Amino acid sequence: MLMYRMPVTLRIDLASPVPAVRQIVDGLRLLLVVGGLEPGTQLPSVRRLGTDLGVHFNTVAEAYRTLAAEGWLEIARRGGARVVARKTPRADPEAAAGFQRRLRELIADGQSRGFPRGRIARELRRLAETLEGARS
Amino acid sequence: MIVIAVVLLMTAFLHFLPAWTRPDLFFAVTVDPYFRASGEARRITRLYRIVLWNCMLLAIALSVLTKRQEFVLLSIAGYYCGTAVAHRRALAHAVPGDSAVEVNLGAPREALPGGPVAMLVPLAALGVLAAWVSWNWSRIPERLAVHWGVHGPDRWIARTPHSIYGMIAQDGALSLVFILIGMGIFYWSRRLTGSAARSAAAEQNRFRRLNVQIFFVLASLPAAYAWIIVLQPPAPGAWLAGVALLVAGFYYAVLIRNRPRFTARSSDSTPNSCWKLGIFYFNPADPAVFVLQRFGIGYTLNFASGWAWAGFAMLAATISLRVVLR
Repeated sequence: MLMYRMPVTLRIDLASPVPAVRQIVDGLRLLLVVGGLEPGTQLPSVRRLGTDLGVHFNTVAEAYRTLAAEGWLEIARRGGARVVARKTPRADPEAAAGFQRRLRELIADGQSRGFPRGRIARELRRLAETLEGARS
Repeated sequence: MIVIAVVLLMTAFLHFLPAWTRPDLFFAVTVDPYFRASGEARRITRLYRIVLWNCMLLAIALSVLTKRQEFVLLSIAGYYCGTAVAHRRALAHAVPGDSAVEVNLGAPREALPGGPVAMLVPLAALGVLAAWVSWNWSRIPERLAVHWGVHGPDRWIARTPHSIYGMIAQDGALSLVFILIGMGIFYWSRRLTGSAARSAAAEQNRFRRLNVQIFFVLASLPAAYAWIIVLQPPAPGAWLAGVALLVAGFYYAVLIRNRPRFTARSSDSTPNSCWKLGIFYFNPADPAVFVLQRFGIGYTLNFASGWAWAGFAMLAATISLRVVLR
């Protein structure tokens, strides 16, 4: 089992209108993409993570299954999951359109909550630079 | 007289309970940490104490006048009523609690305090006692005192396999209940591992482990009782009273001394609406079976969990066994 390089934290908001399963999937996927969770890492059991987060075990199990279907995780015995090396698939046009739509929706949501356009643009530029840096 | 002294001590303990809870909680309601110093908070606390002490006085008066000790239970009712009234009034001053939860996925795997062997010690002690009894049956007195009052023993059991092994079995069941509570707190309560409130998390986790250790120690009490009954040392009643007082004193001293001292937000993600009457936690959406008490020191059950009721059924069965085999 590989050791973690740094504290890898998953944060959800129980009062958020976003379903807990979606928050867990998004949070774990972020950690998987940025490299916080490396292949071979053992994730907590469904029961342990559910108890610590305060969500039903089935919610965590569903999140694990979703990420397993995407190829990030391998479901282990006794309700655990292990991070596996994943080959990045080629994005199809439908997925690309979906990504653009979600990005626009996210920006619109930020604007509706009062974030200035300039700040959103700066955040996007910063993320783009991080992505470019990771590629080179 | 002893019962009255115990009731007085318990009421004095409950009198100070509001001062020993987390600063952002007031009678199980999330409040601004500065609310405690307000005039309204003092009025609510005073109301709780008035109900508590009046019920205690009524309980003692009825108990003395009717010579029935059952009336002392009224003092416990006073605690519940006082808390419920204070909780209801405190709800008017509630502020939204912290609903964000953070989990460190890299938190090291926790080891059971004392290891799995430590929690089996009381059961092993009872097993050894059963074996000793079978080998030394003739050395056991014909009649064994099992309960003592102020004037000496007032209840006995005969030396029959039914009563001796039955007593060992019921003490084993009681030990098992304590062990299961300890394990339940360890495996089925929330761990705080996030980095957002690290000091609060460390404080809460320390207290959680302490509670597990306390229940493993409590599990050895029924085993000690069974050994003292069977061996019948000189003045066994004094031995039992001494052990009980020592353990009870130790229990409360350790709990009060080691209670969580939260200086910041407690990272308690349980909603106010799930704390019924300020005491009972009922949240079907929370998989935790044990949660940190909001009003009081220690852990309480999530009464929406089937496991909590299974535990109650086991405790009820243990007590019933004691009554049947008496």
